[in-house]
Amino acid sequence: MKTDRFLISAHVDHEVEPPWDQVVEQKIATDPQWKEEWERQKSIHEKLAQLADPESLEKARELVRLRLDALRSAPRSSRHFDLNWVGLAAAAAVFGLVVGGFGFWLGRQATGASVAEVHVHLPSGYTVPLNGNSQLIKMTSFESGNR
Amino acid sequence: MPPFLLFSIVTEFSAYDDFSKVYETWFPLLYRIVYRMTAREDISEEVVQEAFIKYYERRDVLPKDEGLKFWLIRVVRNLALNYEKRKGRERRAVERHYHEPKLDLGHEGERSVERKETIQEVQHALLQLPYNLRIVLILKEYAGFAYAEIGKMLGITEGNVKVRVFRARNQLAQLLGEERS
Repeated sequence: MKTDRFLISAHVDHEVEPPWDQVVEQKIATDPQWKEEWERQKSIHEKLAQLADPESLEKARELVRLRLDALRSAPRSSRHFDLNWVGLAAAAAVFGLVVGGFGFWLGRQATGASVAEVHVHLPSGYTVPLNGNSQLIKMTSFESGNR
Repeated sequence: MPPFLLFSIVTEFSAYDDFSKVYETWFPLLYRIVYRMTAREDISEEVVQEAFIKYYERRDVLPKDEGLKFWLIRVVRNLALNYEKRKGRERRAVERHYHEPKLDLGHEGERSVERKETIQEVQHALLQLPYNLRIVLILKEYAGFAYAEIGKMLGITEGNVKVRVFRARNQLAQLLGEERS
């Protein structure tokens, strides 16, 4: 079966548990196709093993440690400090704009209503009490009622 | 000295000690994995540093020992994948033009040069593997994890790991010109 061949790479990695490892070994010994596959898998495994650790590893370890030490010596929240304040200021500005804009719009709406003309029809004989300077004399509701 | 101050100093030193221990234990492994994934020293440094910053910020809520190892590997894998997505196409194009080893098979007899070329070929072929196959093979070959552990780390079954390792080696063989007879 084709799926069985996946066991070949597992066998190279010593990942086939008994008793299946014996079965795979026997199959490799008897089946030329399995043998060929096993040799190819093993060869690739060996070639990959030739790649040694990068020479830069130790240097990188020291370098990154120094950078991390520098970061850790700063207060824990400092990395986000500026960003938090910028965010807060931006949110406040947007909120101010929205509220201000709404207030302005509401103001504009209200102004239109407040200048409506009022026509009052007075009896023909009605005279308004004026003082000497043509100003209306204020009357209390009681006084006006008596008139 | 007030007791709370003493306590905070002791806690901080203990955290420092824990962090150093984790760093010293896992840095080589993480660096090796990212280096094999990207073949870039600067990216490996950057990715591993970012992983340790994440660890430092969340160290209070992270698991210890085995769980931490898996968490760190998942973080570097994700960061390397992000790098791959961001820079992959550009990097491959640049490498193809400027860094690809020009194999001159006419110079025979210089074993060290040949060996170096083979190593470069293998590294180059490794980079050409699809990401899903490459990460599994790297975790097996360079981190030495068992199939079951790799499955746990990547959230796939052990059988799936087995299949991917098989396919990865097969594809590498094809890339390296080891065709079936």
